Amino acid sequence: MRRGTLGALIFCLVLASVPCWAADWQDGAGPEWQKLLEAGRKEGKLVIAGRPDMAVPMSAAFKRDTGIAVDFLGGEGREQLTRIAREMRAGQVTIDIVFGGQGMIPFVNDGFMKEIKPQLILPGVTDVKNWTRGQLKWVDKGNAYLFEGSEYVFGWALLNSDVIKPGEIANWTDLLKPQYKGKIASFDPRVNGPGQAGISYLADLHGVDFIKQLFGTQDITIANNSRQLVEWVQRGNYPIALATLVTEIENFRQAGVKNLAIGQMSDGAGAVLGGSSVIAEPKGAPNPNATAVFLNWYASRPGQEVFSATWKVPSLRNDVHVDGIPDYVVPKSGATYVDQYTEAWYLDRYLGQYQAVLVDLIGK
Amino acid sequence: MTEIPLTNAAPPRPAASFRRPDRRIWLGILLLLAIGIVTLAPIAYVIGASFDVSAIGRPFKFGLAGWNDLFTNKNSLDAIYYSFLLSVRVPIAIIAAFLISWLLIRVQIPGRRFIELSLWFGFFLPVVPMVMGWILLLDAHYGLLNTLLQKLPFVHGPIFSIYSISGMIWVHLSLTTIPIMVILLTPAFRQLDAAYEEAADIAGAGITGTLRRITIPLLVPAIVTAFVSGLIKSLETFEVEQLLGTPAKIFVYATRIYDLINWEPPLFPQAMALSSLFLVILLVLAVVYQRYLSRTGDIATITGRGVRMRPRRTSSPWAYAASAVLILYIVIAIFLPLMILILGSFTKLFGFFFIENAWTTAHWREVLGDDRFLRAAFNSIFLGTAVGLIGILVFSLIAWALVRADIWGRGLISVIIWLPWAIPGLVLGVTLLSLMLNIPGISWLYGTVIPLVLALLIKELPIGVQLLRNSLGQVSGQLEEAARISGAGFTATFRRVTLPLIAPMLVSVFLLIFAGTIRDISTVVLIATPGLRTLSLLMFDFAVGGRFESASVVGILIAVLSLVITVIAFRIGNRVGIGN
Repeated sequence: MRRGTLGALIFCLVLASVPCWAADWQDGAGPEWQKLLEAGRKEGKLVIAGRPDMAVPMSAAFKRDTGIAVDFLGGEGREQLTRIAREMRAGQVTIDIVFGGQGMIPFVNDGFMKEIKPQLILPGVTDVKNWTRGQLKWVDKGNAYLFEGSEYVFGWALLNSDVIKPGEIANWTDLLKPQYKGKIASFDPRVNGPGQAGISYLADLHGVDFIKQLFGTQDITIANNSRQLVEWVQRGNYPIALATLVTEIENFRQAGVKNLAIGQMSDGAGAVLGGSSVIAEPKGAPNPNATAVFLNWYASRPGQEVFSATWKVPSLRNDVHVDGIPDYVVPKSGATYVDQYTEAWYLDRYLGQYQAVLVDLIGK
Repeated sequence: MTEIPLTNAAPPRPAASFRRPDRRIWLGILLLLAIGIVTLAPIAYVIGASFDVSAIGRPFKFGLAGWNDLFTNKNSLDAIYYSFLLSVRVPIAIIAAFLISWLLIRVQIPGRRFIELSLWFGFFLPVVPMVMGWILLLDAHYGLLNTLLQKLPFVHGPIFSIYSISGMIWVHLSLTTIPIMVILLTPAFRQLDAAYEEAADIAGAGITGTLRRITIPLLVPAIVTAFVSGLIKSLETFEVEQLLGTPAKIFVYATRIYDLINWEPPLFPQAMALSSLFLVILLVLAVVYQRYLSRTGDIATITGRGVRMRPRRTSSPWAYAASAVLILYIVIAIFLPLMILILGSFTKLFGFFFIENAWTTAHWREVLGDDRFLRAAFNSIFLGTAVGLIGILVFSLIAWALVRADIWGRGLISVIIWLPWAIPGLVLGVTLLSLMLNIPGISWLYGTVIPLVLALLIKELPIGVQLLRNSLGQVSGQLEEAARISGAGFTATFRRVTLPLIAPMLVSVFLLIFAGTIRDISTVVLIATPGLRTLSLLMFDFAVGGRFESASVVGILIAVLSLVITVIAFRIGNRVGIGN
């Protein structure tokens, strides 16, 4: 083979092997997209309600990529839901996009949400080859309203390695041992958030009697702030914590804290959750074009990279590779996980079986 | 010693233009309607919602589940018990604050300006980061003070436990209750004519005799107002109880309501029933307060025969000793946790002083370089100033109508003015949000700055009106009468006589409203649009995101901003006030 031909061949191979993330997220977009982008830019901004830690990176990246500004409404997720619920029912919506979890399913079923699926028009989004599940993940049973961008494993305990030796707690049932009484803290399972997911997983795994026994006998201390929970474990106030957020743990570790260990249990692989990666659009949102642009951007590589890097969880897109995502949240091939982010799980298991028990665990 | 008759007990003599009965009735009805709408609408919503057992936003469905739960649920009953137990700090604080105010204003101990400004500063400091500072100092496991004390040979185990009733009372006393009581009492001391105390001195009364028989009786309205306000406010405090009470399984009225609203599903009827019960408690307190004030009447200490504000200045060793004790208290109660807060803002992880490479300026650079910071700072200053200025104008007019105009329904108005304090900030926010979205004709206001200003004015209405009412009561009506005889109209009299005479209290009320506005989270969190987020909401966002370091930076900046405003307001107050 002549040298020139070989060079051309190598060049072509290199081009072919360039991962698709190197491609522009708008590649292949038709005139419909350009029209939408222009209309979105004319609206100039959109209002997003979500976790406050996403405000700066997400707003900056979206502005950089589209020229459209974001007004970000932070605060607690439950307060955002209280607000958006009243706005929707009064027909006076001021928020375009809501980041949340399964708690939005009732709003979908009450007809307050707008379909997202038909608004996703970028080829890089609709091409199922780009998604780890071979399809886009939706939380609602209609597969159209609640789009889930990332999925991570939740179902481990946070341990103080100075107090709890490796292997000392190998199963969830070990937590029932008398020596751990008064040593365990948990995020409040009565509140929409990590406590609800984490404790529901224990019910999925060992039944509601197990969680009744756990909370009934072990004098578990409840926290409403994930940071406080991680600090308690690190300082040794409570060397075991249930339902902590990965971002908090990793912030501590990055700062140089050494004694935080992840207790992987042998009696269950865990549950997979979407966390705050689930987005929804209320009907009557004030900036529909900018919203549609955001939906496409968020489901594309740059949007998913920002979310993934901020929350330190893996994206459901194949082409998003972000440094710093810890192993214990990445689903392992071959493992069986409970998928809590489905309407069936939420309605049948959570609302049908667990909710009343979770509230009663600590007392109404 | 013979009793000195307290003359000029200021019988509420109506102003000239309000002596006609029909005018008094109409003004009374008008005022009752205006105040009634803004105070009773949220209350009516809360009471109605306590009987609504439908899901959120669904049509009303009558039920008694909320009320049944209130009287049968042990957790609710415990929450009420702990709320009252923790309110024991109020009598402690009122005694301490009276002594501090007396030392600062009447005795004028050395270092008084530093002490007074420090107490204002302490009051302005945001509660959550300061509580974090106290936790770092007094946690039984790792608190710095506990650790230091345990190095002593005779100390075994932690001395302090922050997660306890006594820990919560101490944090409350140091951060809010004593500072606010001093803030409420000092203007009344400033308006006290020194002649009364001098007369007592001449008659041979000692310091304690003068305090007991002259100073305290003259200041009874201010003391009672501070006590009742403190008691009501103590029952609805939230942040300290949530941070320190939850781990100790101590729940109070406000944290209980917060939980009931935030659980999934939210138990709104139970939350609203608990709020309604608190409403009853507040009404009883308000009626007792009103009847007491009606019986005793206002005691005018600034009269037409002139006034001397001269203090009982002393340079005795006792004054220096008192000053030293107070400065020590200020250092321990305010500057020690503040120092931790400042140090914490320079650590990679708040409070982790001993990890490798612990120190950084990254959080300061991040906050100061954040676009949201400048916008939030502007919003805070704008809202604080607007609400403060509108507040002192509206509240002083209401107070004037209650004290001077002898309007119809005065007692009823005085009672319903307390109502906004019957519901916690979060419930007030939810209520205003629901009312604004659902009442035809006003829903266009939603998303503008008006609901925010209105909500904050409603929240500050009780304290603003009551303080100005007491202050006006200390000023004899003869002075305004003299202005009117000299040909001044109502506006000129109000502007040139009434307002300058109560300038110290106007400054205090403005600063209280300003501080309340820029510190508020719960009332505005649900109605502030993204463009109208304040510094306290930015701080809240950082805290929710687990960024305590950045939250503490914003907290420090809020306190510094408030301190600057305090100094400016004091200077303006001194320029326009009776001091000149």
